[in-house]
Amino acid sequence: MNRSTLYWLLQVLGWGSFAFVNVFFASLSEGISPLQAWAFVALAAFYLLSTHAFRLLIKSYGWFRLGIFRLIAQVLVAVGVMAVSNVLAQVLINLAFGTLNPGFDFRALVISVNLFVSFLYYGFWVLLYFVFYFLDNYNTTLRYEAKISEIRLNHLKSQLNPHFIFNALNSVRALVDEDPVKAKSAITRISNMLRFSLMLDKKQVIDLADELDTVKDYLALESIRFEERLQVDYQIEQAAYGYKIPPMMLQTIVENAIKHGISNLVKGGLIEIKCREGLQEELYIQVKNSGQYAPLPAIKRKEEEGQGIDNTQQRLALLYGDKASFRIFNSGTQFVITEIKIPKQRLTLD
Amino acid sequence: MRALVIDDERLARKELINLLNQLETVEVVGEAVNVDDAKEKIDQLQPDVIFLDIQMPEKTGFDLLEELDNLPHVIFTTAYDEYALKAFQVNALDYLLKPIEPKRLEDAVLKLQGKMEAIAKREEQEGLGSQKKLTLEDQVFVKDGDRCWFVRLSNVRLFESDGNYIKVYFDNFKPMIHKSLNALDERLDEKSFFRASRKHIINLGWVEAIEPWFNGGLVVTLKGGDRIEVSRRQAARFKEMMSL
Repeated sequence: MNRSTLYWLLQVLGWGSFAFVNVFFASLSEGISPLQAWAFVALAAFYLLSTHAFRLLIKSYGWFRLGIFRLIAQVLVAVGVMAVSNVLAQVLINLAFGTLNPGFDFRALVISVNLFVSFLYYGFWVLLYFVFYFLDNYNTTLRYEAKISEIRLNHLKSQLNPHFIFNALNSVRALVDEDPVKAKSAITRISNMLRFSLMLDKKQVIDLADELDTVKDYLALESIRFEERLQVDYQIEQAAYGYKIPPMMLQTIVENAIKHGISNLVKGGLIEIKCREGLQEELYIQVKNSGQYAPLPAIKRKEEEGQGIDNTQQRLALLYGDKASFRIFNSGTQFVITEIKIPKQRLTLD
Repeated sequence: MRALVIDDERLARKELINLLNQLETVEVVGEAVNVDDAKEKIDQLQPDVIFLDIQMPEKTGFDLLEELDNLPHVIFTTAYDEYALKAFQVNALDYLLKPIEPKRLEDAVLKLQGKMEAIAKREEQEGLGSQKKLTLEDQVFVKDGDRCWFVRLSNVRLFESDGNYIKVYFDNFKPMIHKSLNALDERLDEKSFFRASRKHIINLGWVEAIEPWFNGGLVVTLKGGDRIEVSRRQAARFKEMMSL
């Protein structure tokens, strides 16, 4: 069930049972006219509408990002305001249904009891709402961390892949005689990559620039290996550097572009990396590589295959919900395009 | 010995050739950049040994071995390949891990040299006539899906044709190779292998029991329990061969 359906279900059930319980007990104690019953339903509807308005307020002003004391203060004020408006609404409802009893209803004691009771109801609602939110958020964070540990493990196992490292070292060995300067810079790049992957810590996102540095090191090393078989082209918009992205995500996509694209082609090919800002504060990263994408049917897949794509999709979903997207498709018969869209705002808290 | 280096990466070839040039016994006669190139060069240069990279674009080193009729000696070179290394758990075959350690390379070459000398000696004793035929001591390369074997022919008890393929029976395995039984029959040494029928070639060293069968045919039981029918026409030849 998605969260918005769940919210409405709980709202309607909660306030519906409020109306039901009130009508039930009133009818037990002193008997109740249909008109009075409808007045209770109207009151329940007011509760529902006012709490829903409050939720909109919380969401649009980003209350979840406030500090705890500020949050409590604001919530108390809001609950007070709602309680007052609720008492006023009760008077209006009674007036409309003709159930108003001025001699009784306007006594100070009755008004303060009403105020207190509706304050409690609102307080209870807010409590439930925030507890649910934080539990849910905590759950998402936990799932994210489980996922990232898994990715880190896989990465250590295979993705900063030994195949690549040893091939790179082998090329460097040959380069030492042929071009010592190039050999030295290659060693530095290998060190950079190793360091980056070892320090891939608990950060959920890093600056695009940092990720790009690693990708550049990686592609420079693969260029030594593939020589004229690999051409690389970067098109990075300045605005893109204002974004943060999940670590190793672009790197994984580029490694796959090499593994499934370039390294399978006798003549080699092109890898083109484009980063640009979209119209609604989102970052588009596109990796285009020579080759063709042909996913294997699930049964024939080996364990590692397709894992990169699944991992990427799950990570994006955990961090950004449905605001992020991932797709991979063939562009003509010569190229594959992998594209991710990343919004500026994340779903979860740090 | 004459060596051919096969790798898609120029620097990797250069590195290996550098290392090989330091060994007196090895002469690098050429290099190839992919499987098709390698096939041509092998036909042309007839090397004694190929140094073969497994991961190459479009066709892998295994594909090359499958396509070759006359296998030179093979030493694999690979950076890191769990899959490839697993494929060779079944038999001790030489492979070198890149970057290649000069000592390991020297050992591999020495070992191969010993093997080549032994073969040369045997051929001298047996005369040149049997040179072209595959004897019990020869190894064949077999690949089935993810697994590969270099199988010594003395371990193969039975070849069975199945459509365009041949099933090779050895140990508990029966992988398929893409060849015709007739073509294989011509290459096998007739002292060791016998064409029992249109469908079967048996290894005579594995025969355990022989019984008469209908129509003057025979049924041969192999060690391990496979029972193979010998056609009437072949039964006569079989009796002739097996009697004194």
